[in-house]
Amino acid sequence: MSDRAIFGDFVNAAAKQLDATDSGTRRVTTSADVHYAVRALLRMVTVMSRCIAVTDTSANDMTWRYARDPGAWTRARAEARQALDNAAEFLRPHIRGRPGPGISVSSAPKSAAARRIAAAALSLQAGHDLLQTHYSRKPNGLREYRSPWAPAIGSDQVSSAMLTELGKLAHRAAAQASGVALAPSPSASWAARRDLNTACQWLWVFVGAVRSAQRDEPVPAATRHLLRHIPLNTIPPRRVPVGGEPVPDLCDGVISTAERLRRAARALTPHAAWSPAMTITSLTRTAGAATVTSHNCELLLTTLAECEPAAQIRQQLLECSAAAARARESWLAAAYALDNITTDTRGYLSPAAAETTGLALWTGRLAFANPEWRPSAGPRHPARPPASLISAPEDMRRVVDAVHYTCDTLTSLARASREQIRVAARASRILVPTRTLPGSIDIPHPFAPAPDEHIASLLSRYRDAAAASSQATKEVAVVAETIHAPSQVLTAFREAIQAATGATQRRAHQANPNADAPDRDPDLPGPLQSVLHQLGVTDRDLIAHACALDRDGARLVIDAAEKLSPTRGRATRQSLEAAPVVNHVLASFDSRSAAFLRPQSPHDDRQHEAQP
Amino acid sequence: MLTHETRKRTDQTSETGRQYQDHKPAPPMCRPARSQRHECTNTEPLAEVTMSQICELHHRLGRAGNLPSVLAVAYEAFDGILLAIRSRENPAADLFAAFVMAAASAADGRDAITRAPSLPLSGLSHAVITRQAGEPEPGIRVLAGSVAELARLLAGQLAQAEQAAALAGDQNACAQAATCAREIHTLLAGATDE
Repeated sequence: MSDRAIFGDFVNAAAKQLDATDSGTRRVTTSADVHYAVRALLRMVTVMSRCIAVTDTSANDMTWRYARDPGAWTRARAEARQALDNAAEFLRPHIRGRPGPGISVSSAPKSAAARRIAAAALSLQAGHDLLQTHYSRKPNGLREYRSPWAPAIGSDQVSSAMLTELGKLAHRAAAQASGVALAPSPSASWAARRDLNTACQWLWVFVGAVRSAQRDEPVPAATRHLLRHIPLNTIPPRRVPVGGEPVPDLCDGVISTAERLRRAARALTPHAAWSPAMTITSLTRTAGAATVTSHNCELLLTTLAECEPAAQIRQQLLECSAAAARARESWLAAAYALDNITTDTRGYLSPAAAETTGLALWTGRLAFANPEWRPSAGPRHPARPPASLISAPEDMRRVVDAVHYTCDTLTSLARASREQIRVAARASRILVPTRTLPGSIDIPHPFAPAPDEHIASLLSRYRDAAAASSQATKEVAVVAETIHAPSQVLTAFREAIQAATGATQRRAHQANPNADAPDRDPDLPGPLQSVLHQLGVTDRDLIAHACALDRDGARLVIDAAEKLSPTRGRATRQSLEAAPVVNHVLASFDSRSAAFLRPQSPHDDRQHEAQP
Repeated sequence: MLTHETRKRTDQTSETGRQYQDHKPAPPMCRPARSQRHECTNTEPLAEVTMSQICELHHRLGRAGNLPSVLAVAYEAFDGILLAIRSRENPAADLFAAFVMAAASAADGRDAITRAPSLPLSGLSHAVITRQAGEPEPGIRVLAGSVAELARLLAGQLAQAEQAAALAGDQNACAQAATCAREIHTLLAGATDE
């Protein structure tokens, strides 16, 4: 984890560039200085807009458009975008042409301020590119998540934190650029200097909007910490313990393996209906290794409690250890439940199963005194002595970090495995030997789809494993917060994802407040939801998101339709291309949607139908 | 839950007359050494003891001749290993990690065997793990050592069966099950090491 670039690295680099000051006396501004300052500031403004866009979603945008009383940050986001657009508009006319008579763009000396702004823009662009690695575009232009971080990046919290960070950079950039614009200059264009300064003023408007929102609803430090710790979306290299690694290296190995497992687990559900990796082999190995990993975490937490002098933290660690033991029991129960089922394919070991086994090995090397520990190492392996585990003051944070990441990953794994089994069962891929079925069921095959009660029992075991692992994660998070371990970012990460999911559901509920009514008609899937269904997407968050976007889209169409001429409305509703959207609008049962369908008079439609 | 499950299986097999009736004395190689009997570190009461059944499986596996009988006994052996291990997975005792991982391999090996086309499904029976009257509880290491020995024999028999099998399905099943048996042996072979 530590060797991966994070967004904060680039924000810090940009701030460092903009904080630098001239060592010499202030000189006269030349036309080239102004030209380059304009170009650099425009680049900075453009990158800032992109950074806002990457943390923003169309759902947030819709919230602003339809909100009667938008929140402080919703308003700030809109004002910030407007301010940046205005700043860019003032700068854009002056970037064409040459810096001065006879001076080429490449050879002209650049002022220190312009160089600093350009360098800061470059750093911020790199940060933006880092965030973009968590998303991809489908051929139809829809944005899709490529990492577990993506939903958090699009959350309201991270979006607000982004505005806060950009506000600070905007203030510095404006200060640098206005210095160029306002310095005495006999040769530079007056209009260029005026517009450069006006652009700076718009940047301060941006800063003002952010500060106002920050006063009303301060962004928690943990959320800014989360934004800064968003890593590059790359899979850490697979590491294999060689034996005898020091504790810091073992902790790094645990964290990077946990990260790899988290990614592998994320791929379980979408492919569960068809993937050959969804085998009983993978399921049993995963459950077994997760049991061992939970056991290792329990040992580690007990050892940490032994070497902690503070009574409060010691008590917290013992509670964590008890929670890890409950997680171990739950995972073991899930492993038992797997003894009675099989799958339609077998033998193939999924990446998630391999990574879980790796995590059990890494945590075991950390938990046990034997530097060569492995499950097959035989009996009588004492736990690592406290003095060996915590030999330096930083080791406590490192080990808590490693355990926190492990428990969090096991929670994700349990949830993903449960979803995987649910999807696979729906595709009749979870089987039982027919001889285990009651004699009244006569099936002339060795295997049959597992009865519903088998599946329900299995799913409940995994639900218990997820709940117990989640509880262990929460307990360890308390310790991490108490000792200021870097893994605190995980707590903010989970909160951001929960808030993003909750916001999507809230928007869906606002769009259809009768959603919980008992006798309501079933919803017609909207165009986006239909596309997701066609693609076989089963991710609940994505589907909920698509529902919300469909509903927002329907409201947008209804609003627009009220202003349309009858002729154009008719043309739209009779268009096959628009049919999915129009159908969804009408199926939304908005009282105003009738206006979209209703012609001014029946004669209008008849007259139109008569035309070719 | 496990005890209940095991009892349920015992009842089911009793009804169908599949329970082993002849409990022969364990072969010498399976009998724990006298000194090892006192090495049990697990102080919790154990629901099941499996020594005689494991040794019985060992004996039957050694006598299995043709492919269907090897597959049938191998199925029961994996099932027996699984039940034996499941009843002794105690985190407070030694070998917890080894037992948990070996159980996964046993379940996988049993599953591999069920895919063999030559497996006689009609005569298939679950292993029945019950304590014989007067039989002492084995130490956990002794049990692990016996299971490891059974797994070693199982791997060898299945490797031979793979060579002799004519059908690709049988060969695959034997090869995969042999791999699982080797994993169990590797995990538990060091159980009696000091």
